[in-house]
Amino acid sequence: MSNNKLDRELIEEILSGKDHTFKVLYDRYKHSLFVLCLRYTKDRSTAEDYLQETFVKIYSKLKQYDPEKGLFEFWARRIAINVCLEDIRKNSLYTVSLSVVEHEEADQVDVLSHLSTKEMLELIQNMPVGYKTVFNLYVIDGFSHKEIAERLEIAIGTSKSQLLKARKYLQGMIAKKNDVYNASHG
Amino acid sequence: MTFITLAMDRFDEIWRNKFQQEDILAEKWNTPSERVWNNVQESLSTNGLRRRRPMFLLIFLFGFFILSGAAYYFSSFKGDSHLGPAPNNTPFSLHDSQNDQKIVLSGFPGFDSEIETTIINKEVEYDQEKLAKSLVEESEPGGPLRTNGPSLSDTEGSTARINNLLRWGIDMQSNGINGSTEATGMTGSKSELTFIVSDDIEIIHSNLIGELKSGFISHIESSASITALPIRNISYLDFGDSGPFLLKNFDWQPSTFNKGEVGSSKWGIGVLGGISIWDQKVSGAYTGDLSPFNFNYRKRASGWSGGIQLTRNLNDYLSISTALVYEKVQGNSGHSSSLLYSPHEEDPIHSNQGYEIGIATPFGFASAEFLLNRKEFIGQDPVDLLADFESKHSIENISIPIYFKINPLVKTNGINTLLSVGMGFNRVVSITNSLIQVDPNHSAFEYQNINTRFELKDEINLFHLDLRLGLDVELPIIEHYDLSFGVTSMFGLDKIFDSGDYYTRVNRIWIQAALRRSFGKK
Repeated sequence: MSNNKLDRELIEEILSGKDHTFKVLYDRYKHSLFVLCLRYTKDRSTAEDYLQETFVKIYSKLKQYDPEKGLFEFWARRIAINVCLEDIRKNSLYTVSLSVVEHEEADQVDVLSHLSTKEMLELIQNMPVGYKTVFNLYVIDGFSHKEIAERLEIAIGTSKSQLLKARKYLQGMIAKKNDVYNASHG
Repeated sequence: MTFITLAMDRFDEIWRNKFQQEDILAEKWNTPSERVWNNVQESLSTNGLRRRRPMFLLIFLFGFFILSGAAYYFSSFKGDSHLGPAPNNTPFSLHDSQNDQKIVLSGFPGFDSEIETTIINKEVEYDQEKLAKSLVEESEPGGPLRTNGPSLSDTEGSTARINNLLRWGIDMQSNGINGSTEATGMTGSKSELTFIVSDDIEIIHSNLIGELKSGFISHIESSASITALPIRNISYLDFGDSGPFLLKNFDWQPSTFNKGEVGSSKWGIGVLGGISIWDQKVSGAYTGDLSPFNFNYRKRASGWSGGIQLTRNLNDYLSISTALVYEKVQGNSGHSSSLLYSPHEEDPIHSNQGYEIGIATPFGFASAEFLLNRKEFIGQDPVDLLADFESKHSIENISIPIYFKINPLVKTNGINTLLSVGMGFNRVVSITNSLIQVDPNHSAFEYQNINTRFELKDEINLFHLDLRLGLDVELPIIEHYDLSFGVTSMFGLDKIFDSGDYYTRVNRIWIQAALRRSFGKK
């Protein structure tokens, strides 16, 4: 029955001492949060570590969650992003790439819209860490360049240039994918 | 250009929509392994998360109980029951209506007299530990008696622990003395009786006639009667050749001499003041999450403390003390944060923009209001600023500690060294944060203070407990007054700022001086 309950009801139960209800919350969000973690690291095992830490933090901070300020999922996503960034910073995984990756500019929007989530995830995962991090934060997770600069301790200009390069990189990868697709289908 | 921008927006939107869709189908590639949940579950159950107590608390509690036990041991030495009244002994009544306020010394060679006594002084002067040790060693079971008193022959295996030694100076006035020149010689003189007191045993000795004599007095009932039990020669007391004496028909005067007064009891009231240092232990999660903002804080806040104290000596080894202490300390913190200056939103008259933001402190976020004055023309576009904020927090706290103070050492030249162990009940009066400076790191803008002092109330635990250890040195100044210097270390048991993973505990140190006046009788 817990599976049909609203997030808010589940959270109230957990806070009142019914710890087992946390499993329902876990099952509800483990896929989406795992995909989020996979966007920040290519390594599946590392992504699982991120997910684990995310849920431990969610549990310990649960009483801080205020439903009036937004959906639980957004709040949980923020925690997951913090976990990922913390590890990236801690392990100095984030390095600003100065090399410019040039790719043909093309209108790949149509191609992109036909890719599956898994294929798009693989494209993100294959980017250099610097590109990937900025691209994830700005394009998908909705951070501003200023916020990214603060979190990654880089200049705002660096964040902007990394994003530009990330887009170009992705465009190049999509173009290649498209070429392969066209070749295989005559 | 517009086309490219639109295409880029569309490009971003596809990515955003793909990964922010609410329902992601469960597939193998996006399903974490079982180990994740197992580890999460293990973390929740083993860490306790909300209930974990730091190791130092256990260590401190251990120390607390050890010291409390030592305090109890020193304060309540109980005589061994084996050394109780000998079976052959005849109890002597303490109350002798025919000899009110008089004592009769007997069993004292050449001396048997009635002497009126007045207790005029009492003080502790002997090395109790040494004396106790000698008593144990010298009281050989079955040893011969040299007086007409009862035998110790039934005290086989006996041991005695002595917890107090009191000496009464006695103004001795002869009243119908019959006997020797020695007795006559002491008429009208002042002499002393020394009582070594345990819960069920008292030892009495007198240096009457220049000789030191001793004897046990065992209580049968605390206020009804006693048994005088002479003892063997005690070398430490320099018993001499005359042997012990008996004290019989001792007039028990509860108003001047009763068991309640035997233990030393003395009150003291004083004022204290000194330095207070707060060691702020901010959680790693809090500082970690704030680290992108270059959050830094001075770990130690310092200030002053002052108050009044009340002490009661329970005996020569142990006293209990309480106080009412007010303390005020200050600490600093700072961090960077982004600010956006929008010319469209500035006050057109004063060319400034007002801000209300949250400033991070070791005790949570405090509001601050300030202005940025524009000094130069910057055009019409908003300017991104990365400003450095510096603020100071001020904490006021009231503390009511309760200590047991243990004096494990012999008083040297009147100087007392005391170990104290106890607990503090604290109430935070207020924690306020004042913004000191904002550096916008831009020559076109200037910080202007308007209302920067705000009290932190959210997530502050007003009541908090601590455990304390201290060391004091007491120096006598003049009669009834002493000065003490002490250091007290306090281990905070509660989080003062508590917001889940974000919290701050405080350990404190007081370095204080106190002036105390003593009163009451020992």
